[in-house]
Amino acid sequence: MIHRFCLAAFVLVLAGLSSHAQVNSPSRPLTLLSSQGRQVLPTMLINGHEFVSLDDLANIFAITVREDDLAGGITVSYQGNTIVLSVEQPLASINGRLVTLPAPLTHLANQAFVPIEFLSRALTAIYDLKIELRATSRLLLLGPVNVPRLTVTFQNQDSFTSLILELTPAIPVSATTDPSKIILEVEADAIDAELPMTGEGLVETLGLGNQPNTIVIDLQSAAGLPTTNIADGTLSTLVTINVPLANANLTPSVTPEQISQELITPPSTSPISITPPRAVLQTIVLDPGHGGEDIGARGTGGTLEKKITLDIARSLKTMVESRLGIRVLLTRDDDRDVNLDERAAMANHSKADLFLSIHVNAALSPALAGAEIFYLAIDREVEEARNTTVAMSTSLPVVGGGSRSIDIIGWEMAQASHVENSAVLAGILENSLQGQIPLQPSAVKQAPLRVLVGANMPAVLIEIGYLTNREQEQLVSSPGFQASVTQALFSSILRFRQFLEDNQ
Amino acid sequence: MRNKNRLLIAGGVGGLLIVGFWLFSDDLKKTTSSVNQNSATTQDLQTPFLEGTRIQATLYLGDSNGKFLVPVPWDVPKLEDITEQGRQIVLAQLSLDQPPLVSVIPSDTNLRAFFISDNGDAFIDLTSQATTNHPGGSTTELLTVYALVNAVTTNLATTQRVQILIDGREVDTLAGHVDLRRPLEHNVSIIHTTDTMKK
Repeated sequence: MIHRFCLAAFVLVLAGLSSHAQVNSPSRPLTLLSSQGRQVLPTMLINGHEFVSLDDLANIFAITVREDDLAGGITVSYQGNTIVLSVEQPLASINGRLVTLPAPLTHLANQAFVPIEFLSRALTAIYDLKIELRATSRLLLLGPVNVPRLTVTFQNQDSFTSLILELTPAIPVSATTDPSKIILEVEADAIDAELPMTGEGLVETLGLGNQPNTIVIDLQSAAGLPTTNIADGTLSTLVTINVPLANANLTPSVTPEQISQELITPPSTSPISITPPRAVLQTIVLDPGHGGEDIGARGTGGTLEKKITLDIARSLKTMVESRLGIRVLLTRDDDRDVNLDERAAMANHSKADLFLSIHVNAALSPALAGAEIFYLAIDREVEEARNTTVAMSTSLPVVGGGSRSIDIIGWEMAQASHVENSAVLAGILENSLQGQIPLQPSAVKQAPLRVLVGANMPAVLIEIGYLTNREQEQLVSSPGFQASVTQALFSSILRFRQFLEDNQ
Repeated sequence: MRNKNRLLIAGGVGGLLIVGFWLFSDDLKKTTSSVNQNSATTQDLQTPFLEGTRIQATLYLGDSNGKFLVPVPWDVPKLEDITEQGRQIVLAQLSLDQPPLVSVIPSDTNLRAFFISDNGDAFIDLTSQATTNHPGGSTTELLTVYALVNAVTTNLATTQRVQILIDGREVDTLAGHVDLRRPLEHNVSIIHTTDTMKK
């Protein structure tokens, strides 16, 4: 099904592009990974978005691409199913169902190009194998391939660096250690991570080895002999590497026994004695507001809140994962309606350490402008319950034996116990956004917002501006503004992590 | 003697008729009230229950920026029954318009019912236009919700909390933000008192 693709032809196409075509450059290609092997899929950066050629996709996926002169678009067909693409709108109609794309279909040098998201949002819906885009690692997964996601956390002490690699889902890993490097071999087709990555402390770099399923960790010359522990959990595999200073005679900061204990039976009574020094910010859940039929607010120019929120959430996810190695989950990664309880439940199930709901505001007056940050207002009833209720806990068995203690917290009480840290997070956000984007005076507010109620972690909702203000509507749609928001939110996450570490 | 008996019989029949009419008219009043509770519209605002007796209530509109609520004194019919009084206040709140202040109620929203539970919580049951015609945004949704909550809690001394229903049912939110699954308390932080409208 998958044919060889001609890179030379693509280069010729690029050479023939007209000067006014607003092409920035070819961007880093994607790697198509399937059970039949690997294939390079060239991409191009056009007006800040990454595109792939429909001709390339026709070769690889055996799809039929037909220009629809009447409608001014293109019809993509595969085994009787069709996708209609428009040059006017960033939309794809899949058998009549609309999905949004970051940019519309574009023609350059007699070739049609679609945003790379077309693959995972539209083509996958009519193809007989699932197509999944892993933007961080530049991988395009086709069908059943095994590509765990890697998150990396460093913990530095005076004479030690602890490196924790979490592979999700759980997967067998073997390690080879010598004084200068550690090589991890993962039983997978590839690894979803942005590598190479600069290390911290006594770890110099992390990168992929000769094979796409190996990770090479180079150590600093001052590093002593490292110890490695691999622990399989139900959801993920944790690889903990303790790197001491050469000639230092110290106890490792994270022991293998501690890691095993964490994965199988987390302590319920004395966490300090046996819990490993868990990174304070391991998982973040970003919540792009609204989606699907719930469009949220709409600007007078037609800008939809649900699209802006998703664009920013995706950018922030990429930035945080690639720069901080923190796992970031989105409550929705496409244009669909997600129940408000499900959004908080997702954050709870993934044991997120931070929940950030992203929205764009609307006002009755077109004059109102500026961002606002909300954290939950709790009423007297919940406040009283919070002060008097003793948390219940129960012990549940886990796969592979053992048990774990689960605290039972009422849904209405979940956020109540984090509201102080949520207020801190809101204040940090206000500070970070100051000077970056227009802010309302006294931008931090408390309100009984539904999506925050059930979140069992620090949680805030940010309204980045007003779609009902014509100037702000144009602003929030611009890549520059969205980049400023993303950068400010990223800085806030860093500063909140520092706050948590200081108050651990 | 016969004439005297006839007078007594006629008087008795007349008395029975008067008593019967009084009982019937009282039932009729109760029935009418019940029907109104389920099908009330803002038109009812024009029909005072106790003619000539009115009270000055405090209702709320959005300020010209659409950011805060502004208290607006407004005459509404005075009623003995606290539930009926609350209903009149909500009807007035729904139809209130005083430019340059702006109404924070979505267009075409009507009151389906208003009632007070045994524990003193008030319930405002609105038609679905409160949701379908809402422009969205946390700020505007907060204004809509608290204009209604504050209108009731400010004017009915015994009511501390208000829950908004849509088409007779509990809902999560009006437009995806403010939690409506529980009764809400009076909110002063959203009121901009220096802009109080003089009637």
